[in-house]
Amino acid sequence: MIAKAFMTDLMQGLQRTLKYFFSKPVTVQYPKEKLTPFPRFRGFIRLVVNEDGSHKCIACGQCARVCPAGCITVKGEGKGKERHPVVFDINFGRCIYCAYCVEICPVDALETTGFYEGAEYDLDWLDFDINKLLEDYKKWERTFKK
Amino acid sequence: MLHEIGLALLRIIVVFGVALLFVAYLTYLERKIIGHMQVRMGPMRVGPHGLLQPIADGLKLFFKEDIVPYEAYKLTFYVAPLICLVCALVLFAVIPVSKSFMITRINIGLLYVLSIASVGVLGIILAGWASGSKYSLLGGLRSAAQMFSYEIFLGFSLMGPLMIAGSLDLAKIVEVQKVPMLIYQPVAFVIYIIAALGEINRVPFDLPEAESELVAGFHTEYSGMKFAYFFLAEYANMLVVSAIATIVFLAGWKGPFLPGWVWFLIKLFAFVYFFIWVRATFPRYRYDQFMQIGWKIMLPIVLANIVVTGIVMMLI
Repeated sequence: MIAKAFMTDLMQGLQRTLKYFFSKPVTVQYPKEKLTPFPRFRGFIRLVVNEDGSHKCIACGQCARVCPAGCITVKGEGKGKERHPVVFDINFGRCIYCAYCVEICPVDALETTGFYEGAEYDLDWLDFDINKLLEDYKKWERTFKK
Repeated sequence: MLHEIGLALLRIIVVFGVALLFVAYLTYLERKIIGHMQVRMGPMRVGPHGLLQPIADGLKLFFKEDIVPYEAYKLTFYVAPLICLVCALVLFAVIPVSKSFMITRINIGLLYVLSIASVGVLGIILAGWASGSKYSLLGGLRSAAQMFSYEIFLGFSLMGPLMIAGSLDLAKIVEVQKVPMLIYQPVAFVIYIIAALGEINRVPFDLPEAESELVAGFHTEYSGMKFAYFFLAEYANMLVVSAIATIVFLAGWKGPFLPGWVWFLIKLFAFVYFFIWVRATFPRYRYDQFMQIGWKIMLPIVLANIVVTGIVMMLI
């Protein structure tokens, strides 16, 4: 009765909100600040080269075969140790970011990146060819103000 | 003569300019404070820390299409928001901001505030009735019941302080207080705050609007500038209620060191902050509970408060 008269429960509620008022907001102001994804985050895929700059990829086509979305196109050239890709396209408009291709690659020529901003009006931009896949993924980052 | 009229006009312009600016920025303040209480940031994009947000909102509302429902009673539909807004803004005329700064000093200031504030209900009822929508009508009826009953407690809770101050003149009420009235009348203060929450339709007593139940209550069918009038009226009412609380219970402009109007604004915004704080904390009361709190709990307490105050005054 006394507790009710002094509205202790209501005061507790007020105290709680006041506590949160002075705590730091958890908001991330997205286009201005971005969270860095975790190391094993599956973002866009990129091609890896050897230290001397030659292709690691042997154009075996396993990635194209395993891809559930069928978004990888590979065409190779040469025999044996010389075999290297001529065409290597990943259509990120269709990619489902499962990273099966990365997993299956026998020579570790593919890797996942922390890049995830694939929302885009221009579908052609999402069609990455071999040169674009070799770029540093930091270059892919676009700002929203185009 | 001309000099006096000029001075009065200047005062009116200053008070209304500042009041409207405050009202606009109250929306910003509310969104910011509630945001931070919910561990968010509130508006951040328009201007630095979203400071231009109210202006952007105002522009948006100003340029919006003016929709009048087919079923609405046209004239009433147009007049209702104006009644609400005018009744809210006219109240600023008697608020003494500091010892010498008020638009007009009338010896029944408090009575004037209470009576004009109750005319504001008319605007809400008319809006609900004229919209030609059942949700609006329900909202309007709810607000009628709510505001009429809570006005009673609002008036009664001010009765105790009035008996001590011995005047209805707002400036005199402040002058009489050597220490804030809050110390003599703590019960009246609490009742006043609760009644004020009911009177200005804010959470936890926002039954006329009740977003989750009645769409938006009486202003469901309103959009654009007419909606903005209701919105402004509501926030203006919040300022007025806070100002009355400041004047009657916290000794208005009185305070050490700082000039009077600064003290007045500090106290005013303490109340405004409290109202926003309450909104961030409590859920809405059920309609019958709300009426029960009013008639079964607050009315006896507030009447007892008046009686006790009277007896104590007789004895001393």
